[in-house]
Amino acid sequence: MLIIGRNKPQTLRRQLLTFLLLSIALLSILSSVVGAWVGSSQSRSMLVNSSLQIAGNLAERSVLSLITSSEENAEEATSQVLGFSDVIGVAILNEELTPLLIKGILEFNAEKYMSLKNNDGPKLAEEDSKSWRILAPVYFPDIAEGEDEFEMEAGDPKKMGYVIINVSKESLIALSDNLLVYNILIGVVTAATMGALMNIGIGRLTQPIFNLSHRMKQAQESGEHTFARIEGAKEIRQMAESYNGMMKVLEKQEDELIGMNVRLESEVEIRTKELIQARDAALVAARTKSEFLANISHELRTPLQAVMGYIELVKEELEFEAMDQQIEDLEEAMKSSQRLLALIGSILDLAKSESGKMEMNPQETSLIEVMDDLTAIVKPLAAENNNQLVITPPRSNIVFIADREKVMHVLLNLLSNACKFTHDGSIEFTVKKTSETLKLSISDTGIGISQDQHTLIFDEFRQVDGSVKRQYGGTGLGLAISKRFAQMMGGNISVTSSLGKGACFTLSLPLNSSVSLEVENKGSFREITQ
Amino acid sequence: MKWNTKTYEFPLLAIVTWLLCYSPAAAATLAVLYPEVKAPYKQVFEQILDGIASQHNERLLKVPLGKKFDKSRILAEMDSDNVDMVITLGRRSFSFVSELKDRYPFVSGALPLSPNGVSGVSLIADPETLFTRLNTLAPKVQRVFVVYTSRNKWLMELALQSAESKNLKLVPYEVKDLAQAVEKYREIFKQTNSYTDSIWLPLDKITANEKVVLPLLLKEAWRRKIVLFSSKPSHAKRGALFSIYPDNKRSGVRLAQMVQEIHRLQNKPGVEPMKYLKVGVNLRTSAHLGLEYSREQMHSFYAVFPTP
Repeated sequence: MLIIGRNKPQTLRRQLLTFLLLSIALLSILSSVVGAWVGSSQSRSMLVNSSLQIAGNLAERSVLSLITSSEENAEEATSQVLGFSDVIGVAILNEELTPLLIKGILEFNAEKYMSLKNNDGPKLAEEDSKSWRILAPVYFPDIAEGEDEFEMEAGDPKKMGYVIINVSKESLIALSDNLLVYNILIGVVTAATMGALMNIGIGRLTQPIFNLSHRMKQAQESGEHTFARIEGAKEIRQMAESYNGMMKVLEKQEDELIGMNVRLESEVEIRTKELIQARDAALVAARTKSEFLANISHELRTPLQAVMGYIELVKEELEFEAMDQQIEDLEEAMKSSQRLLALIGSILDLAKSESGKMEMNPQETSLIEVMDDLTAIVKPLAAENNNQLVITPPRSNIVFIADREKVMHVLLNLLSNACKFTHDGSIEFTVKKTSETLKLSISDTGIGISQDQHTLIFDEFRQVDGSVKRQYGGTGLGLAISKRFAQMMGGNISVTSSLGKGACFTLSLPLNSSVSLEVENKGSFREITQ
Repeated sequence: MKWNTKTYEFPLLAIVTWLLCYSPAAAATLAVLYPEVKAPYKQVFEQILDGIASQHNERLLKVPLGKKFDKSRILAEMDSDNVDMVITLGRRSFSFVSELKDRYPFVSGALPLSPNGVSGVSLIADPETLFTRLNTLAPKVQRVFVVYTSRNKWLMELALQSAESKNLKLVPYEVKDLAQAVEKYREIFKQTNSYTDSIWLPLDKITANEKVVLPLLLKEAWRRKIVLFSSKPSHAKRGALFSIYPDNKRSGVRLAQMVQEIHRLQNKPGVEPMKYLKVGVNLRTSAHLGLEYSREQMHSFYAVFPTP
């Protein structure tokens, strides 16, 4: 059964039927063969016993012929024995095994029987595939036991000679063959009948479990909670009841889930609507804010530029008149105006980028050139706080596609921050390139940033704390704008720092082609090795 | 009432003397040795024992003998039991004869005894009684053929005398073995006449052999209508006209009488042929021979065959 089920699972009914049919077939064959063998053995035993009896009777009937040495008497004695269908030969012999008479088929060889002369009764003397020979001694007829008590002398049985009968095995062989054939036929018919009956019986017995299995499969395929009929044997009924119970629980749970799902969906819908409204409001607010900022910046810059123009004019006129004290005052006013203009420019940039109006201008950008330009700009700044500027250019130039101005803006912002927050230290600008990314790092030995401030410094109008703003100045927009520019170019800015131990800002820009394609619109990068 | 001592002195003395003399030791003890055999032969010995018991009213000791027995132990027990006389029944008990000769008075029974110094009742039927029955049951018979071995020679002398007294001619033939017996019977049949000739089967296991001779004789006698009668009881049932049945109980009585005589008189009565006989008749054979019997005769038969 297990072998049958190894490759492809069979139904329980088929497995049971196969197992039982095989068992019955085996049993039938075994019982047929054993029955035939037992029958044959018993028949053989009976035939041998019968033959021994016939030989014994012949021995008794042969007394007269041996007493009288008369062939006629021997003929008379043997005629009846030869009437038996299996007896095919007979011989009457005297005490020296000399034949008095041989009739029928019997090849007599006295030497073969010499060793059996001492036997007291009939005995199977010789056997071959076709027949067996039985030798029986002939005794002088004596009186019966008990009756000898009325005799003066004890009876002393005297051997007078022997008889041999040759008994054919033909009927035994035919009987054995017939037994085997009939037994096998009966076995086959019995097995077939039993098989048919079992097929019906097992079908009825396994139908409930088949129905249950079918119902379970239906439930699995359809996902519906179908219930099974309670029928069949105790165990199957228990299974069906358990299944039905399980289905009830599942149905209840599903109902609850559906209810919860409906509630959730409605809540999600409400929340989504609220979120959309909030998002729309936020977008509108942001856009309004950006537009406002852009408009106000524009509106502020125009009069401011006029103010600055007039300051410049006044300054030139005062230079002619050598009014140095006024010129210094005007220069202070000019510086304040320039800072105000820079602030307005930054606000404008931020507003543009937030409102999506900032345009990217991708172009081939030489890293060496960028670094040279930066060196020229930053060198004086570094010197202001007595900082050492270390810019390490790459061994070979890297040319990549990017918005050069934005890259310059970001790096300049980072370098100027480093110069601003470092005193009597060093500022290092390094380049690291991988197959996908170009990393431009600016590290300093300045005041550093605490861990909890790392994310805050990229927020708009945010500096580490108010004291910093007071000490170092600045709008708090530089890192926010830089980060936004980096993101617009498909990159990012990260920071590693701890308070009092300097900081390291890294601008990562993508280099690979996929990113290039992706950032083409935003300003992609490409490496050109010269 | 006053007792007179002298008046009762003599009767009291007599009673005391009788009590002293009459003790178990004074009673004659008779031991009967007999074989333990199965039915139907067991009944024969039981009937003989009944006869003995009816004759011997004193102490009777029954000693059954199995197939194997310790002769010396049995003799020792008989001595310790104060046995006075012994009866042996059957061949097994007859083996004690040599030991009993010098110890106890004894007789033997249930054997075809011939005169040989032992006293007893032989199973061999008295020829006179036998021929008397023949005359009654087959009155036409004039000649009786008999084949015998030397063992029955003494009987033939008695038979010849008895036959003559019954107007019968006895023709005896002595043979040595079965082959001679068969041959002799064949010769006899050649000279026999139907109805008037008869063949007598004596108690002889060679000349009256049941497996070889009897079937031959029955077949031939039936064919030739010769009267066949036998001294062996079972032969009537098998087809002989009649056979003799010993009266076992009376035989037992006679055995007890004989041993008591020997014990008392110290004589030797010798062997007696069986005189107490009953007859069994085969009515089919008698009908075949044309013999008819009166109602009185029928009533006198001990057994008839076929059994009604």
